[in-house]
Amino acid sequence: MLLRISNLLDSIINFMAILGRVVIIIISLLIIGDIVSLKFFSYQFPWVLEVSEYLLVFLTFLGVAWLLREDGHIKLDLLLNRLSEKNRMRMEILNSCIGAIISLVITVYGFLATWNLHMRDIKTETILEIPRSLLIVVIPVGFLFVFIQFIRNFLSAINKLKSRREKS
Amino acid sequence: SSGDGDENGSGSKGVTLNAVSFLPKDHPLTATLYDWIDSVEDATDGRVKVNWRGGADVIPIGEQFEAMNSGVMDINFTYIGQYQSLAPETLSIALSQLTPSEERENGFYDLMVDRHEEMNVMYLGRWLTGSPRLWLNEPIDSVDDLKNMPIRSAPNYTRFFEKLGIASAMIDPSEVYTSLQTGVVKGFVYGGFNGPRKDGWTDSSKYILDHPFWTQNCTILMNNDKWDEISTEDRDAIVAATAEYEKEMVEYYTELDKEEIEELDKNGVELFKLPKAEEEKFLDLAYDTEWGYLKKEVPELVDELRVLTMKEE
Amino acid sequence: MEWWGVLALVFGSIFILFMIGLPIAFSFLTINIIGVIVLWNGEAGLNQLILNIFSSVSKFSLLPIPMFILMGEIMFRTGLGFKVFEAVGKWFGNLPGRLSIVAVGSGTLFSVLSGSSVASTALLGSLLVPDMQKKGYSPAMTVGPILGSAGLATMIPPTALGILLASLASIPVGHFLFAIVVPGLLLAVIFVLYIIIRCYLQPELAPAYDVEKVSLSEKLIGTVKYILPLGFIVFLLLGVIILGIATPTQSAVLGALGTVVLSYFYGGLSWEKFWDSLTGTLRSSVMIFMIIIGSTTFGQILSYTGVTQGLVQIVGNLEFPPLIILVIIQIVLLILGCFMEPLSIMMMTLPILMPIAGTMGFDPLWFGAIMLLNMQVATITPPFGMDLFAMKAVIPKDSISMKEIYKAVVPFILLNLAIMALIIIFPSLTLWLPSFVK
Ligand code: NA
Ligand code: NA
Repeated sequence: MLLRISNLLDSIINFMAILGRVVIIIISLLIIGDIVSLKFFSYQFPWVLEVSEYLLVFLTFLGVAWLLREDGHIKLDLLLNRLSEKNRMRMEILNSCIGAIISLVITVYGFLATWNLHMRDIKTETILEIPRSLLIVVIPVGFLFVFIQFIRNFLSAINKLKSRREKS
Repeated sequence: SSGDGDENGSGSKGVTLNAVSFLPKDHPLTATLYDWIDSVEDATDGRVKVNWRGGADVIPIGEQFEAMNSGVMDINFTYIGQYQSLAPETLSIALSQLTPSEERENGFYDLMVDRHEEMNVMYLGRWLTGSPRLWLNEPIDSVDDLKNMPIRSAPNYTRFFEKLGIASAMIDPSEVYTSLQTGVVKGFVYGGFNGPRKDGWTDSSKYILDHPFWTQNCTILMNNDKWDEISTEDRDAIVAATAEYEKEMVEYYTELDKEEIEELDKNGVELFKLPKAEEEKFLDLAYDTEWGYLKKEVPELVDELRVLTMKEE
Repeated sequence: MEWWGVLALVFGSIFILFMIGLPIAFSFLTINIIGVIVLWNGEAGLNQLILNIFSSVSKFSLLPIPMFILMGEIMFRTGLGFKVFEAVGKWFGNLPGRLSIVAVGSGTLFSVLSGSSVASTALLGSLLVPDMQKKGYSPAMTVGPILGSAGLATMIPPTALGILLASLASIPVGHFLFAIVVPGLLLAVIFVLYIIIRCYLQPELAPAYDVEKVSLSEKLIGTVKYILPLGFIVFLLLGVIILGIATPTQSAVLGALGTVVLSYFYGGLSWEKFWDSLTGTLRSSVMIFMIIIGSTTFGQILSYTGVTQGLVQIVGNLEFPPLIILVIIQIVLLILGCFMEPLSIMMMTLPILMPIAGTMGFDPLWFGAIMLLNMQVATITPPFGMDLFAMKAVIPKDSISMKEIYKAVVPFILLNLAIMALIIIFPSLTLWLPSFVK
């Protein structure tokens, strides 16, 4: 059961990362289309600028949990490299705890901010006038999985610590 | 050292208001905002203080209205483009042909205060003057010459420019210089005179189409809950001080524009006009497009707005 | 609490979070969350933080970062970049530190294509480090020269940071781009000299290997086959800008497209490699954007407290000769640069520094060029430097530790400072070239 949930989570995180890659392609196609259109047809799609800006945010939050799982976020290893395996696991427990707390805060307040924008029907002050809630929601969605990933890191560090204790 | 300023002496309850602006604090165009802050503090005998925290370095421009509205900030030196979708009728601020003082006399200001209140915002007044103009790489002879010309634009100009047949290009501020130099765009639209020369944009665009359309629409806004916390006496004093400030502000920026026009002239930048008939065509299009839009957005208000913002002939 | 107390507390906490191994981006976010709760009315502040997070990467000017990384990934994965690098190498004989010099050469070449040192670092790091490691080069002669010469991307136009600085400081952009060229070229020269001297003294850092004698015709064939076609990409990156077809940011997308097309015709590109390149691009871009999110919002909160203003005002109030003030300003910027990324520093300090520069009578072009060099150094000064992290992100996992990267970059920081001193002493190094276009 636990394994199945874990697999499901991985699939979702992978899927989001696939979308992230697709976003890179979409941005490129938009910009190329825009250049061709302005140069040859004297017409710029005035929404391309803002849409590519939004897509940069989407790219980030679609990939953030995936990158955390792949251990790709930059961190300092100065101190960690000097610690014993056991102490390193303790540090891992501590930092995934902090990570989980802050990502939970961002998730919760992200959803609240989204709801707030939705209820007041706030739109972007741009050409498209998109409901801002549709854009902001990518932050809490991305961070929900960051939260989950920090919890998984936390549990795996505890398990490693336990199994070491049992061995010794 | 920071604090709420509640330690203000002799038992009188003081308040410090946090302000944020869309332009940086050291920008030449924000110079008079310091005067406004001083006059507010003077008018309230120091009971109301303003702590101007900064510009986009503190809150990104696009989030400043929201910050003021939610109470993270108290005052926002902004422009209507930042909140127009919430209250399209504020567009009339840009279409007004009156001076700020005239707007206060004929009731336009009060109407705008009411409309802003709907968003839980207190509209204190205006800052900055001057009108948008087209700055072009090559002079033109008629309005039709603008057809298909790529011009660096912003969202609030799209309706008008579409009517002109201009190819509106949305270009990030950091790329305007190169885009003008290389001809990606053949000009830009800019409110007032100050800025383009300093940013080097006049290296390419040396012809200013001197048919100013619409007007500068910078506003001083305040969170309405915070406004209500201030005593009636001090609120009246602030409104009166702002009315006074507006007069001096208009003079200041008019003078600044004069100096800049001389400076532009020295740099070989030329103001030019179209024949009378073409000018009328251009300006009518500028105003009719926007009033037409307002008619669609706020049909119940448009006539009143039009009367209150038109110059009496 | 006094502002310096706040400063000590904030940076102390960040440092502890870094140390326990919380990723940099999340360390910043932790402090930011506490900051907005305290300073921006609790829940309203958290709401604002979410909005500011969105705004901090919703910027068109950031677009070249994923595009340049994609270029690098494709060149790297299809082997095209390696062939180019080899063709450049054929022209260099048996010099001490040969590959390091080729790295600086490639870095200078690429600085004409790249507007961002992070992107250059990502490209050159992924392209060159594996091969240099195979030849037994030490970190000091692999990541060091690459980090140094990647910085040329900032100092030689096109430059994203330079344009941002000029526009934030209201310096005429066109003149400014000319002002920074000579300092940029001086950097390339001094890097090569340093590599030759150091490798001559310590040959073990860059073991000599047998360089095949290459005939002139072979050199020419390599150049025609692999370097000249790069002209196609140069055209897409620069030509289209000059011809007015695209803006610099848009051209980054064309450059990426050109790389895809070129690598397809050179036979290295498969669907699988393209997808892997996208994976690598997503990886580095998300990492960089998350740090931008953390540090931008951090800078906003710091700016709100007036901490930075306090720091800079102290400098402004000192009663020293202008030159001493200039040096003090640069030192303060260097210290800020150790912990923050350039954009945040510029946004916080320029509004105060430019008036100071005005009262001191500094030429804005000169001051701006010095400042830009300083900001470039900020991306490579430990502990927090965007280029350092980008380097760590692209080199083979666990091959070089963060600490080794720190150590390797120090000489190149010092060389940068030497050039900075040179510009300060000889203002004409920056003012000579712009004088032709004025
Ligand atoms: Na460059
Ligand atoms: Na640094």
